[in-house]
Amino acid sequence: MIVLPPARFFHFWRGILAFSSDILHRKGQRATPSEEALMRQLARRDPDAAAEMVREYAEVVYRFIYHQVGGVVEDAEDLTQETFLAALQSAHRFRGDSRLRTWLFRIAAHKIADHWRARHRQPPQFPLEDWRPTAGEGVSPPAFLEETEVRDRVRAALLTLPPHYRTALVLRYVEEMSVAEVAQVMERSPKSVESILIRAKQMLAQTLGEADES
Amino acid sequence: MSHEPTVEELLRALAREDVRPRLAFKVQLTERLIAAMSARPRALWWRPVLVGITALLVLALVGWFLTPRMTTGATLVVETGEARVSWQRPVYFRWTRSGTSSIPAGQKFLLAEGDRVVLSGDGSGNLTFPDESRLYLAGGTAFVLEEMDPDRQVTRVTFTAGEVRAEVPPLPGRLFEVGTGAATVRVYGTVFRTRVVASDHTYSATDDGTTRVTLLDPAQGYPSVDVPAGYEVDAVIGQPLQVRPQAPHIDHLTLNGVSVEAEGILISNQPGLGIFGKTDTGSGDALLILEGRLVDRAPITPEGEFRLHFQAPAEGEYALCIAIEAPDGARSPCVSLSYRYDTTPPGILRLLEPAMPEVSGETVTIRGETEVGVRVRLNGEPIPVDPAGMFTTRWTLQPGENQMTLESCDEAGNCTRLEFVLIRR
Repeated sequence: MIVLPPARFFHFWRGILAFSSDILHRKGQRATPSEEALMRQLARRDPDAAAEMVREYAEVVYRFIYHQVGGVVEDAEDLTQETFLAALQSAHRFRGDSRLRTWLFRIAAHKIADHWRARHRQPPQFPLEDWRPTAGEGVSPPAFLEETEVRDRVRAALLTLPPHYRTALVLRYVEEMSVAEVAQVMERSPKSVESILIRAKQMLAQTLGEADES
Repeated sequence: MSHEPTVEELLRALAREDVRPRLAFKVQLTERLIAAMSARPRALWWRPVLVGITALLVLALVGWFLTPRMTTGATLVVETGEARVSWQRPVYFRWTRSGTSSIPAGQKFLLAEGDRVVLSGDGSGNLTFPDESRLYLAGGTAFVLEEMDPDRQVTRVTFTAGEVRAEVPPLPGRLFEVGTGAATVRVYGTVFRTRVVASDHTYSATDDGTTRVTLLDPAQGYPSVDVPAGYEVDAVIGQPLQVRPQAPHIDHLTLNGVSVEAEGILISNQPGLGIFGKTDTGSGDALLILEGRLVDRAPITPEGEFRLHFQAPAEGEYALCIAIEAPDGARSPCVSLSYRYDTTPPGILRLLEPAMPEVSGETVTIRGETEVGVRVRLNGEPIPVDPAGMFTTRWTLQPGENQMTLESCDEAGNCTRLEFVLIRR
């Protein structure tokens, strides 16, 4: 049996932890100097920093949330506000290990999960057929209506997926983040995210297909 | 041919949607953030307090588990005098509390392992254990309750002074040990007595059952002997252990077949002395020894009784020794009995007053002289005699002649009599 002296033992485990962290966050981007400066200002309770943060990040965070709450504006606004308030409270803990947007998405993902947990643990099951075209025979709906219909169908189908599947899909294909960035938001390894994406897409396709058949 | 959109394409339809928060919302969010900034940070003072309280509770719990538990249960009852108890009790972890308590007569004290007890010289008491073993403590006894383990059924008491009589019920597997500086006495249900004679000398006697006495002498290899009922041993460092019968008890005495009481010295004018005694041995012989010479020998009955006889050859005082001889020849210490055979009556009995036989009054003063230490009776009525042998009393006379009898008797029962007549005119 190999017995390590205490100093070596400490370095051994520190190495293991650093290696694990590297696997988890490799290829992930670090915060830019301006993002770090913004968070330092926010931590010092600078009102200008709050205004800038809302100006820069309110739209992306709102959009990220909006697609995961079935497009309900009130919920999206409430969760966006909760996300920013939580970010303000935790500003002093921002270490710059990721982009600020990634960090905000991570907080938002937790808030969304809390939101669904509070609401009977499951997102509401929207009947997909309700979003089918309602135009009369021989009447071609306008193109924008088709697009709207598609979005509503996809959003409704998204709500049937497990929360982390939904988050992964929105981050990857709506926010168009790289797998590494998605991994940073979801605090998983890129490999895990890739397999989640595959399963999520299969499940979404199946859901949409079943809706079409009905 | 229509193109079937992929899941990715369907999802990107969401990306193309122009989703933006309302401007009013953004303004409201900014104001809300600025308001939150100006608000006092949440008071988190309770967190360290909670952590502290939790740590204290955990510490208290761990300490409580690690605090040694003391076995208590031996009850000391002080019957006379006073006892001083030096005690130490665990409080928390290694922290202990100690003190000395004075226990007056009539009070009880619950002893624990390690307690030291000193009984005053005029004191007496007893110590009762949960298994009903009981130690009767003589005055001046000092001891330490070394061990009292109900799981291992072991009780150890070490005496540094005094004398103790132990009654230990015969429980299977139960070890009761009384130790001194010189010896240990181990028993498994018995009655025995132990006395600390000196730091290197312990006396132990067994009254019931058997004890095992071990001499704490490394030079002799810690020899042990079994001491059966009725036997005793002196454990002296540097000397061999020798078990011998205990000195017998004199049950009662008879003089020519009549029971008599004796206190210190037996004085009689009867020559034949019968001695009835008892011993716990139940075997061997009882011996009557006069000045080193065997006068009488009698076998001991299985009940431990014996009867000896002494015939005084002439007047005089005899120092008798009664002892027990075991079948192996070991002889017990003597029980001494002093016997004075006296057939000589008091030599002096004189009437000093009245000087003349004729008396004028109804009462008369009778005054006389006799030997020191005798009893005087006038017409059968006892008259007090002073230490010088003088006696005086008033006596009421009948008219005419009064026959008077004055009698002086010594302790042996020998009497001198004086008869005279007083005439009341």
